[in-house]
Parts: sequence; structure tokens; C-alpha cells
Amino acid sequence: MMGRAIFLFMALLFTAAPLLADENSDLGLIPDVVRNQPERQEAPRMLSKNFFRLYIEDALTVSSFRETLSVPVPIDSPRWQNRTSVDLTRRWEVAQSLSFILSSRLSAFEAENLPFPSQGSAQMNFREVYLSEETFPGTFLEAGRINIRNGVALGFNPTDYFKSRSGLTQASQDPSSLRENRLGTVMFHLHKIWDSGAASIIYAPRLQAAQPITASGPASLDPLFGQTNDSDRILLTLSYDIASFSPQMLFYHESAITRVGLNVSKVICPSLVGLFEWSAAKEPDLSERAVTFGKMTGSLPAMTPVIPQQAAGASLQQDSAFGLSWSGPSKLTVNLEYHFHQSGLNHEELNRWFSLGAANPFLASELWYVRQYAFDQQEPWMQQELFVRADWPDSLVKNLELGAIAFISPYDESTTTQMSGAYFLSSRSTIASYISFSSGGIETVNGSVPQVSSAVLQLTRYF
Amino acid sequence: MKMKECLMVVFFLVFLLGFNSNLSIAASPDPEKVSAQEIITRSDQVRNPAKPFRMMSQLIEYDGGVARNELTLIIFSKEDKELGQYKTLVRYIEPLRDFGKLVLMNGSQMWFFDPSSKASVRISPQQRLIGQASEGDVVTVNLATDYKAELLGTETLDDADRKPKICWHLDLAPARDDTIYSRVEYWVEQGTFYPVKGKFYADSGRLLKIAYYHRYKEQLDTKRPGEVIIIDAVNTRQVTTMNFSDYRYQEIPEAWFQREFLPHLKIE
Repeated sequence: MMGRAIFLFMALLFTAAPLLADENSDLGLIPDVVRNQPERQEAPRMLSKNFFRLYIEDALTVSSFRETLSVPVPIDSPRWQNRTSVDLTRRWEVAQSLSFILSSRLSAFEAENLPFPSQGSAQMNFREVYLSEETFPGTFLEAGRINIRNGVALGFNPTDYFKSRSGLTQASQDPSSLRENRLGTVMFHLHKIWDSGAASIIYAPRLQAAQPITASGPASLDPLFGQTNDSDRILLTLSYDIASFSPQMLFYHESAITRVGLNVSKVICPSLVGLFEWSAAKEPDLSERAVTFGKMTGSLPAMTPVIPQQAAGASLQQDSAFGLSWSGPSKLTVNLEYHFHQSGLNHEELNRWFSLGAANPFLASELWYVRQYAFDQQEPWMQQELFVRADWPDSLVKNLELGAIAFISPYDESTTTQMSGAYFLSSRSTIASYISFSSGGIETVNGSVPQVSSAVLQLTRYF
Repeated sequence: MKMKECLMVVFFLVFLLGFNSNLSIAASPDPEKVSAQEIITRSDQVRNPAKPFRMMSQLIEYDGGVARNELTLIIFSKEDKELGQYKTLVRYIEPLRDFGKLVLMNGSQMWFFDPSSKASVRISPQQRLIGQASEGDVVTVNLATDYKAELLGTETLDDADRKPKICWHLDLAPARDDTIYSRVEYWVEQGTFYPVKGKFYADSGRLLKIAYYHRYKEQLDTKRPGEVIIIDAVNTRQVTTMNFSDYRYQEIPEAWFQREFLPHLKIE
């Protein structure tokens, strides 16, 4: 009997022991350096009321150009250019609940055919300089130059009403700089945030007459109020969550134009987010607005006709962006958007743009001006476009983030594509590269631009 | 943009929340009489303060024993009393390239805010699994409300410091459709309700993560794990440590959990 009991005990022991041994064997997967890592208690230096963020960046851009264009460009672009920037963001706690915020960038440019030093070889931009006070819990009163950005889409934001002319004219067009170096608008901003909603009132005064669109850089210390504050503007926003749509309604008034807008977003399923933005205003077509602006700022002669669209006066113009954002298990995120910009060119007007420009070189500069105006306003040139974006962090190797964006014209399937790769060398250093190219014939939306490809090498060091 | 890291981190915050604050940690019931669900509830309570709080988390990713990435976050968290889930706001402190970025999670609403571009981007629940978030996610599972627990038995196993612990071995099955893992094995120390180890499985049954909870220390009225070691079971060279410190109770207004608040958040 005793022998049987011992046998059963041993049998149980041999059966159970491997299970426990397996469970403890997981500990062998923990390297000693991890197990013996000392506890970290120190708070990072940024944990302070007065924080700052400083980095230096250098971006070298090399471009190639088409030999022939359907509509010749009035000004040649440089084949190479380099930008070196010192970028600083700082917040000071001036008093209880009162902060002063400064966000600025000092850039030096070198480029083919750009004299150094010259007006265009250095630029100081004060993107944001403002005071912010939480006057009551959830109520913020802000004054100064502030970058307010509305909208939920990625490629085109119809409800981002302060985007117009906020981009900077600069030598290097590297995308990271365009994305992060946007000018704020001088404004008074009252923002109330409740438990389930928010409302804001913004008044942006006219400080300076509109500055012309320039191909060369502005004076190095020009605050560019003629771009961001060339008219009195008012924006009212209201947000209140309904059925997880996170809607935001907007009412905007500027001179003789009033816009209303709406943006919503919703999680459709765990891997999919839907986005929608819409805005409407009674205003002229893109070409008429561009020509009017060109005449007003002296860029176009007073007798310039409206082309390629015909002057028809103000009418209801709608902008919208529909988008889906999908995330996969492999860390890949893909965004697909459709953009509709009613006041932009349709297919027939696009053909007229080409035919007028090809037949009459004197009209070419005006036709390019219309296109440049759309870029300056950060609105599409055409009525419709598709936008695709992909982002893949830790893609092929750890710390390598790959990305791609493409604007696709549904009129002729031409594309403007940019592929990017960023490798995080350390917590303080990043090396990145952007390769852009446009495809399509010379009489297509994206193939008609002079630049056929460009490559950017960018180094960033944080302090 | 380094949205990836933000997302997973958001999760481990929510994990901090999965407890029933009406229960008390103090008493140590008879190990034979306590139910599986109570074990998991009280174990959650060990990890999660009962009142709104903030804390600092430092993550280090190791590859083959070599530290590759470090991440420091400030986390603000508050329980939604109606849903029993937590609202969480995560601010990036390090690495410097991500300084100031924010992730907001409020129920199904998740937003990523980049102060450089001033853009708020809505993100999907799937994105919480991206990058380091996949590790954080292990720690953020809201176990008591998201899973039904079954007691498999009592076992003695070593904790991360190779000290033997007498534990309840629990098997957790999803109680909701939107849980991240289809199965969790969980070991909770008898008497203290300290979580010791967790194993997290995919729908396919594949083991994804192994988590060890250790370095318990006094944080906000009770002892809580000061560090979690997470082993990537798919690529076992990848090990991440998540260090928790600087716990503080802090009143967090509801307004903080709206996307429009994100540009206003400051760290004090």
C-alpha cells in the first residue's frame, strides 16, 4: 500500500513539476541587466512650470526639373537648397494661471542663385507669441499671435479657417518644415471648455494691408502680419459630443465673406475611423479670387482678365473632405481621403489652363499665379482630388519609421508622391529623408509642374 | 509621428482603472472562500488608486539585453463612475523629439495631439496596440470589468526577483466584445492580492506577452507595483520595463478629457 502511495506521489510530482518549471522558466527570458536595473526616481528636467523645447535642424534639398512644360513657369527654381534652423518653444509661468508662450524659428538658407547674405538668406519667424490665462476653471483667455488649427482631415481641412497664408515662403520645401512652421494669427481668443462641450470666440484684427505673394523670401524680421492679419476676422466654434461623433460647428466672418462649417469623426470599428469636414461660403471661384487679390496687391496689372475660370461673381461654394483611417496589426496606418473644392478648376477649366498657357506665353505667368494663390491659401487647385497617406513605425528595423503620401488627380490619374523614412539615431538625434516625385504627362494636373523629383536629407538634434 | 508609443501607453493607464473602488484592500479573507472575481477585483485595486491621480512612467525597451528606447510619460487618470472605466490623459516628456505630445482616451474616443503642428488627430482603438503601446496594453487591461475570472488553483511560483510566492492561478475570459486579449492567465499572491504574473493571449491562442509585477512600494495609501517587466512572447529578445513613480492624488476636471483642452494642458 505504501509503495503504491509513493508511486502515485512520484507520478504526480513528475506530472506537475514540468508545469511549474515551465512557468518559472519564463524568468530566464529576462536579461540580468533588466532585472538588476536600478530604480529611476529622478524627474526629467522638463518637469517644470517653465519648460522649453529646442532643436537644430538641417535640411538639404536637391531637385530635378522637366525640360519642357506645357505652360512655362515665369521663375526658375533652384536645383539645390539648404536650410538650417534653430527652433525654440518656451513657456513661462508669469503668474498663477498666467503663462507666456513663445514659439519661434531662426533659419538660414543657401541655394543656387541665392546671394549670401541677402534678404532671402535668413529668416526669423515668430510663429506664436501670446499670453494665456485660465481666468476661471475651464475658461481660457488668450491674446497674441496664436496658431489655432481646426479640422479632422489630414490632406485638406475645409474648416481650418486660419490656414490661409499661414505657410511660409522659404527656400527649402521639406515637408516637416511646412507642417511645423506655420504662422499663428494675432487674435483675442476666449475658450470655454465644459464637461461635455466647448465653445470659443476669436477676433483677429486687421493689422496690415495684404502683402503680395512672393517667390523670394520676405525680409528676415518681417512679422508677416500682412499675411496673417490683413483683414478683420471673427470665428465662433461650438463642440458638443453626440453619439461619439465629436462634432464641431464653426461660424466665420471675414470682410464680405461668411463661412459655416462642420467637422465630425467617429470610430466605425476598432481599426477604422471615419472623418468628415464641410464648409460653405458665398464667394467667387478660385481664379476670380486670385486675380482680384493679385490686382489688389499689385502682383497683376489692373486690366488682367479672369482666367482660366470665368468671372461669375459670388455664388455658393462648398468644400468637403471625407476620410477613413485604418490601422492594422502590423503597426501600419493608412488614411484615404476624398477632397472636394467647388471653387477650384474642373476638367474643362483645366484644359483651358493648358490651352491658354501653351498658346499665349504672356498669360502663362497669370495662370501660374492662380495656382500659386491656391497653394498660398492652402486650398486645392482642382475641384477634386484623392489623398492617401501611410505611416509605418518600426517598419523594417526598430526605430525606423516609413511613410508615404500621395495626391492623386481623378481627372488624369497623375500623382504627386512623397516617400519618407526617419531613423531615430538616439533620443536626441534623428536622420530623415524625403523623396518626392510627380508623375503624369505635361498636360496633367501633377505632371504639369516644373519639379519632377526632389530629395531631402534632414538631420535634427534636440537639446 | 510617434503616435505609436502614445497609444499603448494610454492603455496601461486604463488598466490602472479596472477596479471596484467600493471594495477594501485591508482585510485578508480566507483564501479558500474568496471568489475568483473578487480576487481579480482586489488585485486591480492594488494597482489603481481610488481617486483621480497623476503619476510618472518611465519605459525602457531592451533588445537582446541592450536598452534601445526610453520613454517618459506623465499620466493623468480619473475613473468614470458610470462606466467603471478610466479616462486617461498621457503627456510625453521624453524622448525630446516627442516632448509635449498628448494622447487622450475617453471611452471610445482617442485623440492624438502634436504641439508642433497643433493638430488633433482622432485615432482608433487598434492604434493603441501600435509600437510600444503593445506592451503598455498588457498593463492597461481593465481586468475586473473586462473579464470573467475562473480560479484554476493555487500554485507556488517565483516572482521577478525569483522569490517564491503562493498564488491564485486565474483564467480570465472576455466579458465584453471589445477586450483586447481573448484570454489572460493571471497569478495573484494570496493574502496581499498583489499581481505577480500575467500571460496575455491572442484570438488564435498564441501567447503574446508575459508580464511580471514587482518592486512593490508605498504609493498613495497602499503598496503598488513600482515596475512591470513585459516580455514579448513572439520575439523574446524584446523586453520592456515600465517604472511607475511620483504618484499624486490630483483633482482632474472633466474638461481635461476633451480634445479642445489638449492645447491648454501644462505640467506643474
